[in-house]
Amino acid sequence: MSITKDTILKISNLAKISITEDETLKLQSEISSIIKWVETLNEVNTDDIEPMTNSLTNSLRMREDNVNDGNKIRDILLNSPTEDDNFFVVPKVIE
Amino acid sequence: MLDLKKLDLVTIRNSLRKGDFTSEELVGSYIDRINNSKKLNTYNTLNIENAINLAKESDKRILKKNYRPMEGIPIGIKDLFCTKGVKTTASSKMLENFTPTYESTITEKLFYQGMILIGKLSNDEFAMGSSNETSYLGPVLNPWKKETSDQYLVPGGSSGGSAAAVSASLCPVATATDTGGSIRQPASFTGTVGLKPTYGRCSRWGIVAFASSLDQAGPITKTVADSAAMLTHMAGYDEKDSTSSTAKNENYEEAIGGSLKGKTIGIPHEFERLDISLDIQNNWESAIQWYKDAGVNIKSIKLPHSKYALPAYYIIAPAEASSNLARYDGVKYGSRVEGEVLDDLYKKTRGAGFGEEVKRRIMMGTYVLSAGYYDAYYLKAQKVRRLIHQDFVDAFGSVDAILTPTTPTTAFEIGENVSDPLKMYSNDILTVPVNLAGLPAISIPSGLDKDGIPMGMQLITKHFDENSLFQFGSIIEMSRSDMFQPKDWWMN
Repeated sequence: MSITKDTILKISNLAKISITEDETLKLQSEISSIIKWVETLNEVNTDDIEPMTNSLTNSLRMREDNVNDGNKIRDILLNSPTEDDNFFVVPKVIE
Repeated sequence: MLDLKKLDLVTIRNSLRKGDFTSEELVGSYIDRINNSKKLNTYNTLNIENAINLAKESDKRILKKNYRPMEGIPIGIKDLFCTKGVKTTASSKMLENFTPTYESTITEKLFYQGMILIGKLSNDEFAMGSSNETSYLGPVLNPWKKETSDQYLVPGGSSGGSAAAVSASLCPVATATDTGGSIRQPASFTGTVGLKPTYGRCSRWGIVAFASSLDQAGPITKTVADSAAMLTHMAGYDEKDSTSSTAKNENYEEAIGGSLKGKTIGIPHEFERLDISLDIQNNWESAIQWYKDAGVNIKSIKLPHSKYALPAYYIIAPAEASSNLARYDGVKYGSRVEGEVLDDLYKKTRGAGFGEEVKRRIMMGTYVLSAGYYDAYYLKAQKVRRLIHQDFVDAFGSVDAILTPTTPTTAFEIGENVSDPLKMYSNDILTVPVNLAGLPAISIPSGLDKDGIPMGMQLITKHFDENSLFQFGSIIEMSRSDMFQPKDWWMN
């Protein structure tokens, strides 16, 4: 299936990545050819096959929800591009 | 100055304990050689002052005979492992100023055993690539060059910095990660030993995530024995990684040696039909002969779904990546480009912070997970993944190990494949099935091609049977005739 320019723009919006006009055209042609290539999977009969999310046979472990760490405000904010009074800062969201 | 080219991990360990040289001398020699090898562009960040101080501490412990198992041995760490207080960039503009406030489980274990961080090694951006050309900090050069040409070759990827640095003796061993071949392919391209352990064997905690159901850490080393020694200290259960295995850990060095008589190696029928270079095909035949000489039975096996591994991988890995990389939002850490509204900030930050290949994969992953396409692509790929896994389970009913080349070609020239993503992806055709099935595999230098460039053979074994990898692997090491020492053409 070939991908339209609108689809690329829609995906870039979903992925929250701004792309230039040049990038849009390039991605359109590249993703179209990658999609066409992965569609060879349609040759495989997968009726009644369970999807495999992971190669491990054991299921994920449960644990008690205990606090075993904390008081790391400085550590957590250390790499933040901007911060104010121990908060992350973003443009105003609520009017 | 020490002759670092002659030093592997096991030799260094013995020499330090015997007092042949000190850790301080050793670290000094590596720093000197690294400074003379800038042209290869292997290190993103160096840790010189800390390394010298740690070496002095190690020397004191050795003098008092109070040494830890890996005391005073320098190591290079792929720039994907978070190192406390040392910049960790994933070779991306997005993380160019990121300094972790915590240590990854793997590096913590290695440093706890006495290893000394020399520096952080380059990789493809966020481990996405097969040539180390997608690094924001520029390509890494392969220490190997063709006898007939002056063109620079890629070291492979994504662990290209790790492989090139070990090959050029800029560290004795390095850590790396493998999602679709990122340890084994660069090892094959540089004449080094690359081990991808069983999924779940080594903790993923503190490693910058790419595709979480496939990512696995492992070592790149000069010898099989070094690889075994490294795994012994890297492996183990970690409660901080929900997919960490509780399988028993062993001293893998003890597995090496011993007779393989009566064991069986499988040769996948489907792989014989792939477009593999003639030199590598011949090398594969030689390797089969080495095993016959060691009394090993050879059996043709079928992996009927293996040809679908690559397309399945290029749905699953980008899908997982698109989710994992959603965390780079310009708010909590990493680069940021301001915007009028929040959505604007996200888009501008991610548009500027990610490179071309990373954007392509996030876009691809977002597409296959988007409403209306999820079943057709993502779910389909996961079903095919189960069939690929089952092929291996069936094959291991009658063989102890599987032998294939690691790559269809030897190292290619810088720039040769960058404009064609599908051609670049095809590099991983022999390595990707292993990740989908979660199996352990190792790449071992097995010969030089007609241009004098390294080739590697890949061995694959059952889940959690790394011992057999080392046992079978040492046969290749003993039987091959070529030397895997690049010439120092890049030195100042």
